[in-house]
Amino acid sequence: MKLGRLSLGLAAILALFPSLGGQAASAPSHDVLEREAALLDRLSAHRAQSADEFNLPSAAEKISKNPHVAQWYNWNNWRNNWFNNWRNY
Amino acid sequence: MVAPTSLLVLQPTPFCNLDCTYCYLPGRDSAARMSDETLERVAEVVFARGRLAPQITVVWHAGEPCVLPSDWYRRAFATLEARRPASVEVVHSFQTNATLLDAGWLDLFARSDVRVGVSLDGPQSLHDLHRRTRRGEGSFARVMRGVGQLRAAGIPFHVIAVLSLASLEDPEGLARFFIDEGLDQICLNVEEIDGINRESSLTEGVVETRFANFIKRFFREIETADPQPWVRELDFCRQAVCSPPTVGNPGNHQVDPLAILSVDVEGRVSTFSPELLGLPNREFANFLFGSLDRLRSPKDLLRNPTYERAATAIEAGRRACRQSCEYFRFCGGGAPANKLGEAGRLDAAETLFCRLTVKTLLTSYLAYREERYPDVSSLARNQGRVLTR
Repeated sequence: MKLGRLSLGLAAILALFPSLGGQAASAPSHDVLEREAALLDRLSAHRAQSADEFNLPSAAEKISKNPHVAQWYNWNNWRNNWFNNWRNY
Repeated sequence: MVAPTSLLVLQPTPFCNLDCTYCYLPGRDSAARMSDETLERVAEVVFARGRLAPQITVVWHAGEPCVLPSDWYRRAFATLEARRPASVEVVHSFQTNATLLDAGWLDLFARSDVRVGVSLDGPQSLHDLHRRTRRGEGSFARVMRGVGQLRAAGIPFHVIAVLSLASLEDPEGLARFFIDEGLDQICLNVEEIDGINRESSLTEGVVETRFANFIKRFFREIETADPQPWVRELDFCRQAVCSPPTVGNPGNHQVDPLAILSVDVEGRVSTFSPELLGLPNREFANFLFGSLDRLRSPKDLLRNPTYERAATAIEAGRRACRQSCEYFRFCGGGAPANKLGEAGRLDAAETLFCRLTVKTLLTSYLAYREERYPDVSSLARNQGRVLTR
């Protein structure tokens, strides 16, 4: 099952059981979940198409030959590299 | 959810020697300087009694930090270091216009391993449109002199470029400027309606279409370079493809209480988006939720009724994002400062800021790759439905 479909189903289940981590009160509509699933599937297609480009962990070195930058990559912690990034301020 | 603090924004002075047209900061004329007593209180309240992440970044900002002498920071670093818990790593970061650098600054940056960001909008024709001195003159030449000083001293730095409408006209030229100048860490901000800045050239016309076109052409030019510069936005997109977030709330420090602490020059404390610090606002008391001379620990902020009202509204904004946006897992609820700036309320969901910097950015990157690698289009059609919708 594709990631997008899987998460769509899981989110729907969790919305029924808030104590398991769902947030029924703020659950997205089915339409939003559909769009989210579609976006994830589109990302998945890109990942599958270019396994070499996104092959971990060599991608960091491949993308940038600058060691200062390559060292900074942390693919498992990417959200901290974005909205929580000191480079944003 | 109260997160450990991982970002501490300190305002050593609100003053800035430049007067950029789109600046969001209030009080840039004030020459006030953070006192030694306030710094001691920062060390005491935040470092000694706060709940800190294993690594905390101290960003010296909310004004041009380099208008104070570099020796002032040597003392400040020592003050904070004296109260640093042994288990916590402190990283100092400066966002500067680089026009005031001298040997003392370069020595401080090198000795203390300071992360340096330079505000540079691109070639002179773009940069001088907005980044001007108080006499209305362009600052490009002085910034590039600072860039040369950093480079000569071997100090790595990143560049933050603010994109205005004019920047979108020549993506290749902008990318080529960074590549030719050897600037290898690039961050693209957008001209935001934020803080006291009430206008943006990016609200004109069909800006999302122009922004999408810009992103595709800019990324294409960047990917022709060898070695490739690191571009924050390209990195975000690649990581979204490579490692998309799984189910759950992805977290967003601008929305999580106490994850970011901001302290103004007088020792007054805010949290959430750093741009909220001292923003004139009657309903939320300028987002100043406490004062270091009275706080025992950052958690005391949570008992302030004004804070509670702001936190409730911000959480409602996060829920609104979750309910309405398929990109939620990529941002975790947006930026409260932009919601307030654009919609006039903290419980809003979509903003121009997020439409450009998350939604259009990511979809443009995917479209760019689909044009460049035709195989991915057919694969995506087979795997999903989005490309045919």
